[in-house]
Amino acid sequence: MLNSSIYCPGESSLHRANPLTKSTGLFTVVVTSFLLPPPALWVVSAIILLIGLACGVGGSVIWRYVLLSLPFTLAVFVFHGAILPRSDMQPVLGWLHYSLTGLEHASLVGGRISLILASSLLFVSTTAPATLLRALDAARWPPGLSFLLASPLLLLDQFTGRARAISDAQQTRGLSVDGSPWRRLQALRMLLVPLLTSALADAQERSHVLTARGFRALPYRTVIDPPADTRFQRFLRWSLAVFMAMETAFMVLR
Amino acid sequence: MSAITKTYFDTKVLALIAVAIVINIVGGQFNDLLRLPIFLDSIGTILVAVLAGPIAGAITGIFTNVIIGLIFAPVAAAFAPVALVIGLVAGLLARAGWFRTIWQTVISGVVIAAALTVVAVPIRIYIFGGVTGSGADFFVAYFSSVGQTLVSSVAFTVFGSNVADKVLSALLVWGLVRQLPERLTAGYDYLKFSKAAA
Repeated sequence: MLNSSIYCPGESSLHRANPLTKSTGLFTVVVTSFLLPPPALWVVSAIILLIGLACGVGGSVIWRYVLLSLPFTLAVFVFHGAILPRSDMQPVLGWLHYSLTGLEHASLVGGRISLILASSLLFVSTTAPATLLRALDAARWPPGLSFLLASPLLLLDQFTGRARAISDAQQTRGLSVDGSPWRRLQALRMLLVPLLTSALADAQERSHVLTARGFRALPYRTVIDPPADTRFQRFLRWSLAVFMAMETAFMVLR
Repeated sequence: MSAITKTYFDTKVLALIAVAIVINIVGGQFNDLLRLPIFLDSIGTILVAVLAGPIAGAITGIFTNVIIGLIFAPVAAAFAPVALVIGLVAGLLARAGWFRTIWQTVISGVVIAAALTVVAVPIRIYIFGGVTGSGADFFVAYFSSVGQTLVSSVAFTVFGSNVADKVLSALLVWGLVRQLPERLTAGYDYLKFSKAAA
């Protein structure tokens, strides 16, 4: 797993767009990817990466895109093109065979994942999680939902540090993280149990604090500075939602 | 049903779900240190399922993958239904008393791996074409080359790569909840189903 957040601060129009508009656009791209032919999938992926460059997040997006999509693309082309038995397998060299229909299918699946990955990376690299949460609150989503998205993001650094501290402390006390798999499994228990126990204590304390603050006194939360929204963006969201519904109906009925 | 709705709407359970999501994400840190061939990304989900029931477990699973998708690896969001099933099935097994003894817990881990396989296989095949670019793809390729269908190759690989992880995660949760002091477990209605015979 990549170990740092993808979001890159910036002032581009995509950065400034309401997160709900961007997420609706992302879902539309995901649904559309199941209808486009392979060449279009790869072309639209390239266009999205170029949009990332124009928004000033291209370096981060392209780097992660290559890192995440390259192993998958290679695997899907090798597997469908040369390994999975198909009726049109043709010999290339010695034991090596290839299938044209397999390569076409690999291009379709690889292109679809490429498009979903490129658009997802563009979304997360231009959308601060905190802004997304404010947008959800402004849209009057239930506070519990916002809490479940926001709280883990805020706790992540704290628990990463806690896990490191537990690991260091246990190793200082003589815990060995090397040796046979059985020894390492035993070490796992010595590392995880303190983390889980402290997490449960943490959960209890947080619930007391939340209750004391009247966290769920209202069915929704108000936001002091909601992300900017415009009539055009609201119109765009509804249009995209209708378009997605039509695409879905088409896929189901065809 | 009343127990399910009651715990689902409890603020204490919400706070538990939040920290469990973080445990799912940072659990891999210990795995990196110990170099074990498992994922350790469902311990928080199973813990919530045992303490607070199937719906809370399912929510923990979904949000774990959504958050990983939001900040680290967007493709993880595609597997949110798999994480949902892990929490849901673990909670149902806990409700049925299958986290009481060590052998019941081992069987629960196997059942969780089997259930997630049913959901993961269509996602891997329909969206990813059967491979994901990970080391497990070698097993899919091997099973396919020895005559298995794509569905069975992916199913064997998913089950095989998950069964040890889910059994181990279930055992860690079982060991933990048996030892927890009452002050940490008070208010979690589902725990009684896993502790009665302990």
